[in-house]
Amino acid sequence: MKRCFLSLVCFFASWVNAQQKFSASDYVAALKSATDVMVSDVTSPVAASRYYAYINLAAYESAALFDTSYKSLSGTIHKFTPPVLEDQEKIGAEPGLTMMLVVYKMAQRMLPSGFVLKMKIDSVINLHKKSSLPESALMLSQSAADKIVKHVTAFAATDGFRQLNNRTRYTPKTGQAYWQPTPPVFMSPVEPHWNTIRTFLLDSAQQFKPPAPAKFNLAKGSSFFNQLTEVYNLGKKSTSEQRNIASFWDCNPFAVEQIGHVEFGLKKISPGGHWIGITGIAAINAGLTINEAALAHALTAIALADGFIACWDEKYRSNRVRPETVIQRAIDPSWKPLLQTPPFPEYVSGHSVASHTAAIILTRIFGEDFSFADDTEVEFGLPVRTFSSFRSAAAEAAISRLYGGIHFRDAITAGEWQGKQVGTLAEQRFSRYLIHFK
Amino acid sequence: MFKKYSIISFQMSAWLLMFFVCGQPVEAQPLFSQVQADSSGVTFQNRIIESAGVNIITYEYFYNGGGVGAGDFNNDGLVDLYFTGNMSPNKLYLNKGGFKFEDITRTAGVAGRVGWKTGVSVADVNGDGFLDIYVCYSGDLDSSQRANQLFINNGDLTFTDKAKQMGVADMGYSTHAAFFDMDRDGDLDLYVLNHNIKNLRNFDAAYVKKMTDPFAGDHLYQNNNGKFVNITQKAGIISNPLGYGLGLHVADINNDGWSDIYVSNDYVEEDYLYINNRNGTFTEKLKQSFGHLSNFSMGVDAADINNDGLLDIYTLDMLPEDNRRQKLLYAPDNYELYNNTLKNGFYHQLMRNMLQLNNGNGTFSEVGQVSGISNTDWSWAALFADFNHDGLKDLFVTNGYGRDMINRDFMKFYADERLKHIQGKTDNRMFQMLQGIKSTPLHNYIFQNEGDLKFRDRSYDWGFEELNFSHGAAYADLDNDGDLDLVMNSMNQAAGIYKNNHIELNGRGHYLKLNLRGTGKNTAAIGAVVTIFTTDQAITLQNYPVHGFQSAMQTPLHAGFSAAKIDSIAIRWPDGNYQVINKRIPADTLLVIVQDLKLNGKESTPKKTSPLFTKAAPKISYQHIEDKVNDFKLQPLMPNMLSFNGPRFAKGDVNGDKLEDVYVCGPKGQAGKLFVQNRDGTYIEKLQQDFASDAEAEDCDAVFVDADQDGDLDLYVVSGGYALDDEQMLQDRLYLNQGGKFVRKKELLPVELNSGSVVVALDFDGDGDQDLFTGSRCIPGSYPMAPSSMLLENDGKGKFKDVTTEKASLFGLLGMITDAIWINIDQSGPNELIVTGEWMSPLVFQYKEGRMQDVSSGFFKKSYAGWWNCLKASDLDQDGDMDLIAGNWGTNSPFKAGTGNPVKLYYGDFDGNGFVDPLIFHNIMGKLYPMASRDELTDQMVSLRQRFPTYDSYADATLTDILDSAQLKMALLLQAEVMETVWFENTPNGFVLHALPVEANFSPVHVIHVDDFNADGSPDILLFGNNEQARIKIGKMDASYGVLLTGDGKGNFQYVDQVKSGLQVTGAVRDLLVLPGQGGKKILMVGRNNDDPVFYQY
Repeated sequence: MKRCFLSLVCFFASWVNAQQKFSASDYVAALKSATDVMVSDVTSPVAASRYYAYINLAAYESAALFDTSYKSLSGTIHKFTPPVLEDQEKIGAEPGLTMMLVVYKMAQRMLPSGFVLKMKIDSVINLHKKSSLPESALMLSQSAADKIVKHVTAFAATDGFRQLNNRTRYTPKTGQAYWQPTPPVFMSPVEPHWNTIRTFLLDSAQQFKPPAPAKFNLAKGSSFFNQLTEVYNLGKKSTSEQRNIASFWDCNPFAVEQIGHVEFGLKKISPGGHWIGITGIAAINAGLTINEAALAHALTAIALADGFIACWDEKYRSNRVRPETVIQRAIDPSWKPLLQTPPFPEYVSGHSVASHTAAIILTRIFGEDFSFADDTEVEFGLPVRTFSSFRSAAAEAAISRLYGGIHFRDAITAGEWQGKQVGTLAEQRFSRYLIHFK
Repeated sequence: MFKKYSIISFQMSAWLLMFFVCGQPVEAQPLFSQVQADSSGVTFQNRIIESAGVNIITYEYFYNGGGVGAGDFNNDGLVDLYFTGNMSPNKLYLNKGGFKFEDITRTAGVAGRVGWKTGVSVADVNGDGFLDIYVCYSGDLDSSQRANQLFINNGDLTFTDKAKQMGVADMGYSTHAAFFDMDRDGDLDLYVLNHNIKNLRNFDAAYVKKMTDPFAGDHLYQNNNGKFVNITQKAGIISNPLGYGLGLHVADINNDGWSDIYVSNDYVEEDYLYINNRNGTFTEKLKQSFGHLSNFSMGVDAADINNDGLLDIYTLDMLPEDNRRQKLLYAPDNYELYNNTLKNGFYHQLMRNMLQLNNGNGTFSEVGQVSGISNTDWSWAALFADFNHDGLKDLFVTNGYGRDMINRDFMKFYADERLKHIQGKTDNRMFQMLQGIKSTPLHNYIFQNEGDLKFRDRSYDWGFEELNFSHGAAYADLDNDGDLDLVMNSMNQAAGIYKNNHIELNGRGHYLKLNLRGTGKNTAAIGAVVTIFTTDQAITLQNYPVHGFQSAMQTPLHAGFSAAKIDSIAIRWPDGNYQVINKRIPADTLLVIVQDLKLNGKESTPKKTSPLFTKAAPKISYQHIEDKVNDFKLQPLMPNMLSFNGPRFAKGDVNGDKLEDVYVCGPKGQAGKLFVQNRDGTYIEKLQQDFASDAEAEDCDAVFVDADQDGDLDLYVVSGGYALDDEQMLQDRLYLNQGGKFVRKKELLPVELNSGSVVVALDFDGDGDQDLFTGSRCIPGSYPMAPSSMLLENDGKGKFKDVTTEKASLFGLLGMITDAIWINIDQSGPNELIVTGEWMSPLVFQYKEGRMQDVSSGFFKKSYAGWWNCLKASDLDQDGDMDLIAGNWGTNSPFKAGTGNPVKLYYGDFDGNGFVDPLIFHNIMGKLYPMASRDELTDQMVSLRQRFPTYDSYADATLTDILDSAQLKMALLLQAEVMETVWFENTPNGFVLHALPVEANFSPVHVIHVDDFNADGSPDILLFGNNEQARIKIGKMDASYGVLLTGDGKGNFQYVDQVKSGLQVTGAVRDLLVLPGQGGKKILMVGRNNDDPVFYQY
């Protein structure tokens, strides 16, 4: 009995010791390796938002299993039940290590090229093999992580994603008002049935239905024509700052370059990926613990995922044509937008929705006037931009789509509205979790 | 001099003939052997040096290579060689005999300028009897640096560039040029083929097509006494910025004695087929002539490959032969892009080589896949010539591209990774990135023409195993031994010179070389057409020097043939005069024929035999309007769509006036129509309210039967289709004839929702009333699963009961039925029901002991699983029993099959998402590989994205890599071993399969009609079909214009060419009716999908 007690003390000592090894930075780094896989795989913005949501959800649930001050998101998220661990695992597993393994293994399981993360997982495990962590703690951490991953991926498997490829693939509607595939490669539109994916918080994909877009009308003076002219003129004489803004928030996972037979895609993070990046910057700057970081990421990612479902629902309701298509047809056959038009309908602007949804959650977590330097796009050859608040960053992201020539103004306004609606709802539903950031 | 050579060569071949007769095998040495540069002295290399300033991104035709010019520049009887180097100096080599050459470039003064040199043309431009050299320039350079050069031969092996003074210093981005006499004025005019160096992909097509581009567009120059005048616009030559001209061939394509022009264009702009209007202008007639063409057309050649006197056209593209490169390089099907291209006014274009067989009536049948020459990878030069003297022109192809620019992994992963990796580290990121792209040299292809439109790949055994990047090429008899040697211009290695060993090896067959001497300035008689008649062959050659890619061969015409004796030679000279030589023509020699104006004659116009079928005025005014859906949006991995079924016809006398009336099945959205025949033979539509109510159903078949036994004909219509808005529309319909009004009686039919295909009226139980068999085709959204076919029993009053379970339980799992017939095969007892369909063998059922029993094994001794579309019974061999003709998919597709070598379809819900996954595997170079590209497969089964994260990881995948053992265990399998349309002879030992002529397999056959069309007392066969709704990679299957096969009454059938048959039916034919014509004539009504029917009289 005495020996047993002693070993337990030793065990706790090393456990505490090891736990300190993981910080918010480690969490952000792990998530970044998932982002890298998504970028390489050319994951669409909507699919990326879904992956981020489940990965961060699992990570946060892992925290909640070990630290009772954190409550499971079950009851808040539709149809979600908390993962269950054996007592042995709850006591013996190392929480920080478990959470890191959960992040990597979630990404490994869910992402098409997740297998490349095996190296990361091995190195985390090997590092701990060499540390003072007892073999049993390592084993229990692994089995705990596996259980959490299994539980959350099983939950993800029921959200309708696997049924998407059974749905009739999209055929562009006929009529000038409707979306047509866009140059240069006339890709099929991304995920036309995304509104069938189970929401996390929203009552339905249709809960925040934006007003109908301006009616297609090429008559001078009509709202549509005025907006068309605005995009066209901006494309002809935008300021260099406007162009910088457009490029910074491009977030196109796959812009195709064509030079004769040479054709290749230039990859960037998605809009959701960009805001996950910002969440990471804020988490580190604010000195969050790894558990707080996981929560901040989970709340932001889940809200973002619902934002995309709502946005995509509208996109394939209005099926609105892109500026590029109309301008080339009606005004100037040689006109090209500054940014490459993404392959899906125009209304509403996804970046406007995502940015405002994320900004509301982040503002609630980190405060109104949280200034930050955004270096997420540096690896894609873009500069650092600084912002005085999340809201100002979101506003800039939204208007960037007009500067980029890929959206009309009403798609931005309505997108901002929808993003704020989703964000506000999420903020309310998350109130019992947000107390951690008071 | 010429005689001397001929004697030598004749003796040689005689000696070898003896050698062969002795029975010695002579295959030890390949047909061709390479003559090394150190032996030949031809050290020319097309050196390409990539740099940050000049590379594939700065100039997209950087890897297109150089050309070869062959001609006897000093008139010593030996063919000399000229090579163009893109960046390196051109070279002229004087042939010294015995495969020894001397570089005389410097003294000749023909190295060309610094710049980007491309094609070469060889012709006696100024008509002084000495061959001149025209060199093309391109590249991302100043226009002055792109001026083409014309090296005029001074007669002493020195040359002077007179391009400017003669007006041919074209400053476009030139690929190639051809001299020919366009206006028959006796001198040579010039066509210059240009290309755009800018990437024009996203544009308003109508807008850009109307533009002209002085440098990218092609140019036509008329020779006015030695001065060339640009007449491009006036002559009707297209000169828009979309011209990416890569191939040029001038020849008399429509056989009217005037030179026509074929231009092949890269990318979206179609190729141009310019038909000479005989007045100094041309009319572009590509779309009227071809059903589809190569997408990224490169080199082109035209030759008479089947010795029918007509010039066939062959264009090259980029489709690799092997599975691995197909999976790595081929983009997935994009229907939006394809349809967008069509909507923009462009044409059906597919990435593979196309062999356009000339039908002689202005149409061509594309049969590259039947011939086996559709996949030769990224290909440049095509040369048709008879390399083995059997009278059939063989085919040589050069290929290879500097870097695999269209590798899907490069596009999706590698380019981005590498660009990020070198970001900021270098100023020339793109160049750095490019250098990481894989470079895959390829072997050249050489195909032996085996006759019957079949080409056999002999690349390895004829000596072309070497991997290289080869571009321009020429054939010429370099050693004057009588056979044609080959020369090619290769990138970064010595030019290839390949000696033809045919004469030395076995000497089978014979040859004749012809040196034609024209009148006036056209000294080499460019444009002459020669036909050499032997006892068993007629070899037609056209005398145009430009062949292959960026190359020209102004050399004697060469013909091989099997018989030793030439009966006659017919020559049509460039000026239209005609001459026949039929006395004492030696073989195995070189003949010089000078046009003798005194002997000029006119071509005896062959007596116009009137065709068997003549077009008739429409008897029934009808337009089939198909509901345009894309079935692949539901199931992307089907081979072809199942929604495009009609129109099918039914006929019967509905009003008892002894005249047959017609029902035309309506597609979804268009009601079926009843046309009643009047006394005068005309037809008038009788509107039927109940037909209109059922317009949303897709009628797939119909039959007139007296269901209720009240003495008039009622109508049973099969509903089917694939992409439906309302499943209820699959219910078949019975309309009772109530005094001419057809009234739908729902209560008389069982409720069923099977997507049907065929109905057959049959009194299976012999009780005197009409029972029905209905065949089912598919379950919408669940291909290849098939619903139950049905046996419907009539209660004698017109009420039909589904007795499938009790009396025909086997009909529940018949498969995807397409057709059925009720005939008496064994001439005893009751009839048999024969059914067939996709992925199955024909099955025979007999009604015995109260059940429909499968008696197939008694009639078909083995399985003949195919993609059968239709069946027809007829006594073809006139022995008193019924034989069968079965329409199949044909052999003009990528799906090659044979006994023991099936196309396979594994299906099941492999990813457990509740939907069937159909995975087709077919033979590519001897092994089964998946049909689907990586993106297509992972779209069907998302879980496979993890197994195949890259294109490379999928490039070698076979069945067991795609499905694990558990999935394989649950997989269901369908197979097809026979793709050919065939006839089955009814013998006491069952049906025996017989092949039909190759033309029967040009396209899927959907309609078969048998009659004695030529009134010789024996049954003939008429086949129609085509399929315009296959996957993009399979493409538009349109090579059939109606195939007439005449029979001899003994089961032998012969194809009747389209001129003689008179058939010229475009589109997808789905049914045919014979209507009464005037004066005992018959009228064929040929029903076309989404079009009006066409009518022929016979």
